[in-house]
Amino acid sequence: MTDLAALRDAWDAHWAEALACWSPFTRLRRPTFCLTEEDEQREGLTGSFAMIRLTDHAVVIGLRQIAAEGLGAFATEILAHEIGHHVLAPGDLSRHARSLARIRAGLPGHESLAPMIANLYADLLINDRLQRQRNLDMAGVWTALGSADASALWTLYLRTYEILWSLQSGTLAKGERTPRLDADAGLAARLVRVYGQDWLDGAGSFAALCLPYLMQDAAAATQKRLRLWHDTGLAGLGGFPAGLTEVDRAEQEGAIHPSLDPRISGISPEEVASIQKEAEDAAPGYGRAALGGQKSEKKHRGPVEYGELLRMSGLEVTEAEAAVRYYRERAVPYLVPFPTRIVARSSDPLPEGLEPWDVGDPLHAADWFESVLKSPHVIPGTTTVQRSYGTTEGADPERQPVDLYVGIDCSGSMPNPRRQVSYPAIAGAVVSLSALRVGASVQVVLSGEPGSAASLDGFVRDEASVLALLTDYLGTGFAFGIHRLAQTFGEAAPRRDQPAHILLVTDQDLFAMLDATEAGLAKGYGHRTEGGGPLGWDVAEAALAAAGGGGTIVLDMPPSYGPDQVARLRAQGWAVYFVQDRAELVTFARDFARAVYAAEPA
Amino acid sequence: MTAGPPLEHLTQRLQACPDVFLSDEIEPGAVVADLLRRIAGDPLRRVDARAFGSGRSRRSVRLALVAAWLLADDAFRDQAHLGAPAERLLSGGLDGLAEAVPPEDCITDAGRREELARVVLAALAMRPDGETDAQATDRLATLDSAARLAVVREAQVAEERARRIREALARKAREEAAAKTMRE
Repeated sequence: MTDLAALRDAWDAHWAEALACWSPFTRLRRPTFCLTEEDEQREGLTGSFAMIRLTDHAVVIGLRQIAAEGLGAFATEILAHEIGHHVLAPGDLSRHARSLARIRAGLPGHESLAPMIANLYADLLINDRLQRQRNLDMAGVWTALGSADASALWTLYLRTYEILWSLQSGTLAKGERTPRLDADAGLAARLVRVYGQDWLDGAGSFAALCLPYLMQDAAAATQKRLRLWHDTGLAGLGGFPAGLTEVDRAEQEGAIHPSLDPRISGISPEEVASIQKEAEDAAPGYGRAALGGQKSEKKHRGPVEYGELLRMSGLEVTEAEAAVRYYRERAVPYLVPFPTRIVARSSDPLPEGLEPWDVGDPLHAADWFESVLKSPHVIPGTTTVQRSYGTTEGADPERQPVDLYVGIDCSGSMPNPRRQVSYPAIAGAVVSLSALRVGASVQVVLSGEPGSAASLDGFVRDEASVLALLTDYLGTGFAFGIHRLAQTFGEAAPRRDQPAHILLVTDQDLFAMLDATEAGLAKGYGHRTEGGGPLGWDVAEAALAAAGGGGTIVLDMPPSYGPDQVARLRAQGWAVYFVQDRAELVTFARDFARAVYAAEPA
Repeated sequence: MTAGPPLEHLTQRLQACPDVFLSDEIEPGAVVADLLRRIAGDPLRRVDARAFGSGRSRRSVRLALVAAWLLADDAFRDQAHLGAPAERLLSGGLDGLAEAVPPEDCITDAGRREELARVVLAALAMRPDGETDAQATDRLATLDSAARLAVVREAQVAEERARRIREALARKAREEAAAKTMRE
């Protein structure tokens, strides 16, 4: 048996003891021990000697590094620490992501270091509990790892442990100590104790405390140094935290320094107010008051920050995937009823006769009772039979959803939904998800013309591809190519039996497109009304009539623009909405739902 | 420094401090006078009881009463040489700590209990049993809330101002990035 195999067996024997440090009822699957570099690469263990994954409740231990760092004797301590990440902090992916969001708020200008600070904070909470309540030798782990590092942040961090555990000054922290650093370490120790139960509430303050020290150290060097302890870097791998688009209140209010938290520093709220006023006077215009106060309504972060948070949580997502998840989460609360139509009457299956069942037919189709009646010796394909069915008219009328055609304007004047919150894109997602929910098929056409366009391969039921195209961006041309409607609903288009609802998401540039002919458009913007062929207005009207399921236009513009054009569109039968913010999105969803109910066949 | 009682013994006593010591139902002068006679082992000792309550904040008086509860432990009884330092401590020696720490925290919070116990021992030129002078001094310096508050206060306004500016700059950078995306 190799040394590492023996070490694995020894550590495995401490697993139950480590679990019991948290509760006799804690259940977690046994850790994965990596003995070779290949094992570590397979598990994604790089840089650190241990890691956790919140999605499958995994604990991964790299025994090569454990042996190299001389930590072999601390099996219970390290295993209990990793279990603590599952039990105490962060506990689950949602709280992990929320703590990262709050820590980001406390690190303005250094947001990328939030995962490292979150890990340091969680480690403090876990280690303090294990050392003080379970009498584990967590201080011994730090001593064994050696702490010759003299960076300001690291000195502050280890000095905090010294205070928490009543260790002699200099036992762990080897860097230069100043009265300020000692005072801040005292605040950090108080923070750990005060927010030990509601640790999420202290996350932003911890970040605010660390920020000045982070700024003293070179970020890259600090990250490299701390990688050995970074065991939550891939905690969210394979998971998906819900509810992250919303900015919670603590995050909105910003992370305050612990010295301004009366629960930690001991100073009175009146003194805090006076300090904040003095700071406001010293830097007028930078305080929260300069923002004009906070609205009581919920706030949402943008898609870029949302994507960053997902990646910080350990998820491997591209910008496009993050955008899909973002718009889905923003759209779900506003899902609306989707138009349906009545098809004559529902049909019921009518059993008719028997026909041979062959080996190529589905197994479940075979009628074994009738087969055995025919011959007690069953020979597949020879004596086996299956029931054939006709249809009979049912008693009730049947409702079927109409299909949905979504035309998205992704010209230069529209916001890129992957970079900025696009309320028209949310409105598009609301209607698309509502349609898919009731069984409709959806076609998405992305168009910025004259320029380029992209579309799905016909009407589909795949939510992922619908949302992926809905949130894509081309940035060409000036508006949605209204003439493209003819490709689906024109006379030359393939015949469609199913009616469809047309949803166009665009802005005021659509009016210029409606005045254009397809041939004129090909010559350029200045010549768009020239050439033969129908104008955009005619194409829009014909498409609406041919689609047979109604039409909606969502405009990213104020209602005061182009009243004549809007009136003309409404006269053609289009429902026109203006959606530029959250309030207008709510109005859109409400009015769309009302319109559907009003038009609902009895 | 001389060896005093074990720290755990003192913190346990603080934890058991009756609520009445934090109320207005108690006469501080009377409590302190009785305590000083108990420490001195001289029931007839003259003590100016009025001096303990006058001209001091309510927080300071209450913390002195909590300290008096601690000093009423048998470990300090009949030790005449502790009378003078105890009187100095209760007459204003805890005012700095009282400003930094609410008196009730010295009963309910483990860290503050340890701090008050150490402050009292240091005032009596004692160290906790089992510790060296250096260890006791170092630990007291580490826990010193009053000193920490003084340091923090010095930088607080500047720190808060810097934080606001950093937040505003980060916000502006985000807005500029969004505007740049729009232009592109």
